[in-house]
This record gives sequence, structure tokens and C-alpha cells, in this order.
Amino acid sequence: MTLLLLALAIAILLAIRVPVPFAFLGPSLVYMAIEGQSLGMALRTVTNAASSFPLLAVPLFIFLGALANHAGIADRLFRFAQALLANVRGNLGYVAVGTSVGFAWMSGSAVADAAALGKVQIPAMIRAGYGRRFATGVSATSALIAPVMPPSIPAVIYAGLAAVSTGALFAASVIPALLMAIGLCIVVWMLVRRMDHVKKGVFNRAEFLDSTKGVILPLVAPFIILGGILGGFFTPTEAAAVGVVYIGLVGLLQRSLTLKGFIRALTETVTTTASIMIIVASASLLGYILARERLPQMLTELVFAITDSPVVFLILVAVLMLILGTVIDATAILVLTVPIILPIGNQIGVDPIVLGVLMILSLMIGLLTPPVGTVLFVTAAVSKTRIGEVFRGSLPFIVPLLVICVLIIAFPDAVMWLPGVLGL
Amino acid sequence: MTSDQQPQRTGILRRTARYITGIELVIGGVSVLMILVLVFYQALQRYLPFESLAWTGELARFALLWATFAAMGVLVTTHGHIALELVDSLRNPMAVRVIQVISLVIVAAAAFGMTLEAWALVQTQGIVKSPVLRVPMSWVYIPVLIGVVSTTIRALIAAADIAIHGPIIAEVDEDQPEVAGL
Repeated sequence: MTLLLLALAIAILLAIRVPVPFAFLGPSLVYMAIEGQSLGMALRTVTNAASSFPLLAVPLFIFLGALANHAGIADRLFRFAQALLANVRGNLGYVAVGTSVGFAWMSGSAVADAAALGKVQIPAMIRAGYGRRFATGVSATSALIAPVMPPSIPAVIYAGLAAVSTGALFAASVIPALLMAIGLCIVVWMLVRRMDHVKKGVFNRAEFLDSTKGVILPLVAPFIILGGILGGFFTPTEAAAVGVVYIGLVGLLQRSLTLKGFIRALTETVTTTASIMIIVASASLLGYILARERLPQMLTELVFAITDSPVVFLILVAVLMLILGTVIDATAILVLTVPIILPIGNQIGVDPIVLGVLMILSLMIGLLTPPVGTVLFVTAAVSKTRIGEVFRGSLPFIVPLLVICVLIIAFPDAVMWLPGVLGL
Repeated sequence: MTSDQQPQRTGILRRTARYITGIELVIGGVSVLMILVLVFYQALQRYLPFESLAWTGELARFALLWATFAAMGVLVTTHGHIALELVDSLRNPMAVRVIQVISLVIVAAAAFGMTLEAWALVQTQGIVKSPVLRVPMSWVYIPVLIGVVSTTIRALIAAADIAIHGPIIAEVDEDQPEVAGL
């Protein structure tokens, strides 16, 4: 009964536009007061979650992406990919995907990726005669590669919650992220075939060489960050700090990072970090209450009454994440569901790393669906396009992402191949 | 309602809010830079003959807490908190206005609850010391208290502002979209 009331209160608050963290905090504080918990207990739970050591990587990876954006690296990656694929028909579609892959190695946030790349990619595609729906669709969907490809902010949060190796989760995410890129390129190929007005360009050697110069130093960053983590040289948090310092130095050396750009990147980092961490913190208080009300045990019994098959369990998790991802923020879902789902997965025999990769990918699809599809909103804003138009443009590109979810469920060992090779 | 049609929100309260926002963002920015420097130092001390400082990790964790709560109130003013904005699409502006005011009053109530919690911790945790730095934990909670007080006041001001001037319609600047969330 208490749980139902709590769920109802949160649902009502969310529906009347109360921000997610306060929709969680309000009913949780009332619960704590009614249950006679000592004053200060709720805030201690909240602050413990907001000052966890593994989560120190969150602001640093956000800063890395923001700094890379304000140092003009997104623009340079776009120019390089455009020069490289100039003589490919429908090149800008592939360029959008390729640039997102390149930027994803430095940014772990889909929203940051959509904001940084969308404003370059979409106008360029529209100028070249691609439809607005196609341009916004491919740009928005490509942005989802960032939170899956390491360094991924949801992966840092999941690893912290599940107490698994962030490095192993990063390594396990590489193949699904690359499959996402391949899948999106296939859809681009299929759609571009029907665009008779889109012609091939001409490869310009001078432009290619000139644009290559601009990306050589930035593209060393992923090797430092991921090489540092996967090679055991740094922890993920330390690698993020080293990456920030490196990208800052590259920006200074290439004279593309101004003081104004640095301050804007820092401000964006503060606000984005706060918006994520407040949700983590408030959801952890709610998680404490759910655990106190024995919800995990009830759900475990329910799941075991349905199945003890890892495949069926993973299908249920993916469907649940896809549904929840459309209505609740992904960070909140991770903080609320991981402590419940993970023990069930462990009992059924699902690897926590595979579970993490599947949960993150399924949840990220929710960033493209109304009503809380933040990537949808940002893409619509940067391209001055209606949200419905962006959503319709994204639909064909969501298909390969769903196929990859199915592949992860069907072949979990493939996900674990790279961590195994690297001994993580 | 477009931005042109939205009433101009000016006055001393606005200017004061802008200064406070600046101060809070500076605290948040300094906290993020502290995390960067401390974690970078940790990375360096693995490979360079620097003195190993055990407190860097603890201070970085506190800085993350301070950065989070420093910007908590700012996000109320800038509408940066993640929320379902379905009600904004209602055709009746009065209904939107009422719902937005109620929503902000609830935010203020929740933040006030957190203020009471933070005040209790500041008052009682002085005898507890942090594990490495050995600073009273009440000090750690002071920036948190300031953050939740700011959130309460900002939510009340925003509610009054909307009640007087009408609802805020979510708009995203093309040049600087809200880059928040995952």
C-alpha cells in the first residue's frame, strides 16, 4: 500500500511538471517523516550518493566533452569526415555517423553530442539537398553512440551502482557501439539510394590533408583515455582528468580554445553535473525506501515465478527499460532499478556487465522518444525543426538499435569478448 | 506564447538573482576545477615521485557534493532540472500558469524539507570528523545547506514571478541549447 501511494504521488508530481529530483524527494521526505526516521537521515543518504568516489568521473567526462566542443573539435571532425568521404554518394549521412563515433570517444553524453554536432551536421545536410527529416533523424540517432561508446557517463553510473569494473564495462560497450554505427550506416545507405538528387562529390586531396592536420592531436585523446583505462595505467576517473588536461592543452596549442570557451565549458559542466547528480542523489533516497519496503525481494519472487531463463530475463529487462526510458529520465531509472534488477540477474546467471550494456543501450533509445526524449528536444532546437518531424526522421534509425539489443540478448558472450581479451 | 509575447521580467529581484547565480556558478566551477586538479594529481603521483596525499580523494568527493548543491538552485531559475513539460502544451494559459506555480511551490516545499535536514546535520555533525582530512562533517554540510536554502528561495521567487507575469514556455536557444542530462 505504501509503495502504491509512493508511486502514485511520484507519477502525479511528474505529470504536473515537478522536476524529476523533486518528484522523488518530496514523497520520500514525507515517507521518512511518517516512518519516524531521524532528521538528517534522508540528507545523509542523498549526500552519500552525491559524493561517491566512482561518480567523480561524471563531471570530468562531462567537462571533457564540453571542452572538446568549445575547442572546435566537433567541427574539425566533421570537416575531416566530409573530406574523407567526399566521393561517396550520400556522404553526409555517413559523415554524421562517423563524426559521432569520433566525438563519442571524447564525450559520454548523447545530449552534448547532439548539441555539438547537430548544429554543424544538420544545416550542412539540408544545404546539400537532404530532407530535413533524414538530416535530423540521422543526427539525433548518431548522438546515441556517445553514451554507449566509452567513455560513457551512464556506464560510469552503472558501474558505481553495480560495483563492477568501469574498465570492463567500457570494453564491453565498444562492440555494441561500433555495431550501432554500422547499423546506422546501413539505414543511411538504404535511404540515400532513394534520393536521386543527392550526388557524389569530388575528393579534394588538399582539403583532406588540411582537415587531417586539425584532427590528429584531438584523436590521440581516445588512445590516452581508453588506452590508459584498458591498459591499467589509470582508473577511469584519473583517465578522465588526464583527458581534460590533454584536450585543454590541444585547444591552447591549436589556438581554438578561448578563455570564454573555457568558462562556457566549465559552466555547462557545473549545470549538467548538477542536473545528473541531483537525480542520482534523490533516486538513491527513493531506492533506500524501496529496499526498506522489501520491493527487491517481492520483485525477485515475481520474476522467478515467471522465468529462470537468462534470455527471457534479459528480454524482460530490455522491454522494461525501453518502456521506462520513454517516460522517466535514464539516470533515475538506472539508480532506481540497478539495485533491484542486478541481484535477480546474478541469481539467474546473467553477467552484470552484459546486463549493464543492455540496460544502457535500451535506456538510450528512450532519449529519442517523447515525452522525455532530451536528444529529440536538443536536435529539434538546434535545427529549428518540429519535435514530431525529428521523431519521425529518427524512426527508421531506431530499428538497428533494437536489433543490437536482440543481438546482445542472443549472444552475450560476444559482448564479453573484448573484456576477456583485455583480461578485465 | 512566444518569447516576444512573454512579459519582460526585470527589477531588483531579477538582478539580485543574477548575482547570486553568478556566485553559485563560481562555487560550482571552482569545485569542478578542484576535482580536476585533485584527481589529476592522483594520476600523476602514480608515476612521478610526488608525495602521496591520501586526502585528495576525500576532498574531491566533497567537491563533487558542493558542485552538485551549488547549482541545484540555479537549475530551478534556469529551468535546467529535467522535468516532463507536457503541461506547457495545454491551450489554456491560465491552467499552465496555475500548474507551473503549484509545481514550483512543491519544489520549494521539498527543498525546505531538505533545508531542515541540512540544518540538523550542520548542528549535530560537528563532533563527527571526516576519515582522512579530520574536518568536522558539519563544515561539509554548510555548502549543502546554502544550496538547499537557495533552491527554496529561488523556487518561491519563480512561483511568484509566474503567478504575476504568466507561465514560462520552455524554449531552447539555438546557439546554446540546455546541455543537461545523459
